[in-house]
Amino acid sequence: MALLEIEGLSKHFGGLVAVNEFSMRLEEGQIVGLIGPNGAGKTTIFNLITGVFRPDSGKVMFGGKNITGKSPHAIAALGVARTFQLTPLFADFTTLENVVASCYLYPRSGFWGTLFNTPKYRRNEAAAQAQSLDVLAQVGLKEVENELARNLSHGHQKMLGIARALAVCPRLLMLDEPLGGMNAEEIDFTMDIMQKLRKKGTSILVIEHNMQVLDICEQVVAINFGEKICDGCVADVRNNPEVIKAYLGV
Amino acid sequence: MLRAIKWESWQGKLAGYGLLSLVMLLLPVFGISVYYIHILIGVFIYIIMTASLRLVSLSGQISLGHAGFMCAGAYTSAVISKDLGWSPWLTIPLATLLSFILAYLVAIPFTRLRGLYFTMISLFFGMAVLAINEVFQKITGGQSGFVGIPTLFGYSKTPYYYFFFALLAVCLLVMYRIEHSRIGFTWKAIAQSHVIASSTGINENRQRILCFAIGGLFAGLAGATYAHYYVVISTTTFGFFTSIYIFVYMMVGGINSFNGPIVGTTVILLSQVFARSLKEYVPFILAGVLLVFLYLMPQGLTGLAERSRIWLNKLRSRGGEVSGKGISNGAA
Repeated sequence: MALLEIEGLSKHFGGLVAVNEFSMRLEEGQIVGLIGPNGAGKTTIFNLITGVFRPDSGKVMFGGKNITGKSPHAIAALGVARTFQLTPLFADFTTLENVVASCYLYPRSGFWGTLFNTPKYRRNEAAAQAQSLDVLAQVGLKEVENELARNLSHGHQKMLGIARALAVCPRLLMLDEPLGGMNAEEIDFTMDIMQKLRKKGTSILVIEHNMQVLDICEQVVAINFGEKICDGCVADVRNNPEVIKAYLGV
Repeated sequence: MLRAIKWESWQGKLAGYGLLSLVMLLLPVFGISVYYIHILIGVFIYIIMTASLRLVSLSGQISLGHAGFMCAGAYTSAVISKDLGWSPWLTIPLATLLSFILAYLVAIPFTRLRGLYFTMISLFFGMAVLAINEVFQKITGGQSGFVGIPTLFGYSKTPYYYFFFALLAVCLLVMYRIEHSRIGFTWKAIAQSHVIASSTGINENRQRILCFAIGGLFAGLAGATYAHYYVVISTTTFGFFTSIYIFVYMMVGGINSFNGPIVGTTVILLSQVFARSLKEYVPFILAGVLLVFLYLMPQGLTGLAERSRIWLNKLRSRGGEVSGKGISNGAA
């Protein structure tokens, strides 16, 4: 059984068909790329999966459960974490605080336990913080842990977005253009992290314009004008005439 | 340790707060006049109001109907204790609880709205409370006011002074704890981006409801105790202007600092005492003050103090490494 299964997903904004009858599958432990020209509907698909938008029709199954139309926090609680293309972080928090704030699903002590600062609450918070430091070490942000997120460089901000998503301990990590605006070194580092995560069993769905990312994908889904034009292994998609047409416009 | 949930640092501040408390506790002993005791009691009550308004704003919600909960608390406690003859010591917690429930219930539809739209609906809520009050004027007395409310300690002011000071201390302690724990931390995260917050599993709608309801609880408590001190209440006390004034107190004190409401409320209310002859112009003056603060120092008086401290540090460590962080962080 696939980890993520999407069937006949559609979304209209007024007269605009943003996503039309979109279907795809993602097996556990895979990295799947979602590619397509600007405005093709990639981010809309992300928003439909994570519950930011409600689909008009279609079904999203995650781990055998129907998550169509659930609220974002409920979907996150099932183990789906995502990053955002633009403002990817809490700008007024420090790097570490960003990740700790995202450790919300970590064991907690309820309202009264928190209010009275019980030993259990303090243990939970210490554990959340230890885990956050661990995540920061993984993505190489340890040295900027006390910087305000708004003052970080673009590459670091993107990385922090990934760290925030990892704090949720996801089964499925959804990355919205993680390589956008990164330099060559940062791109290599990010792709390296993605591969390490896959080795640990985290599945990844990644939107990207940078075709380098296809090197590490098992499967690629290409869309244009909200419709899937092609789906398959990297070599097939690269040579697909429809994909070439969509990108080159010939 | 994290800056935003550094509860431990409270111990360091204990000395400062303790000293201030000692001075406040000794004031009646050294015989300040009854008039000033009365003024200070008012300051204590309004600090609770302003601090609870700021608590609501932690989750990014600016309420302009906060006095509505004060009104609900005051009338609930006053009517039950007078007409049913219950002890005020019972009706005050009851009214506080009812304000919490009221705030919780209205927050369920209100928190569907965000930003300016939330502020607008909260404003109408504040007005609706007064209108409902008018409708039931047989019970509430309407605009002519509600008189003959049972007192807590008779008519001597000193016991009230200590009572309200203790109440203020407890309220501030609870609010400080909420803000500097995971609860307030989550609210601050929601204020920065509700989309990101919910993507990490935070049920942001429920958290915003909770935040608004706790704010309503403190406002209801302030209102209920207010009624048993002033003995006469009328709707004008809890009108639109009260909501606006506490907003001004908050902005003048500084919205980003826990001490902001304390400083802002004290400074404005005490300067009103010393400028009594200008009483009719208070709305104009406060509007001007608000404008000046929004343009010149949006971080308020406490922000100014923070800025001058950083500036002093810079002067002292000139040549060495200079840290310019922390002026404009919403989480400080």
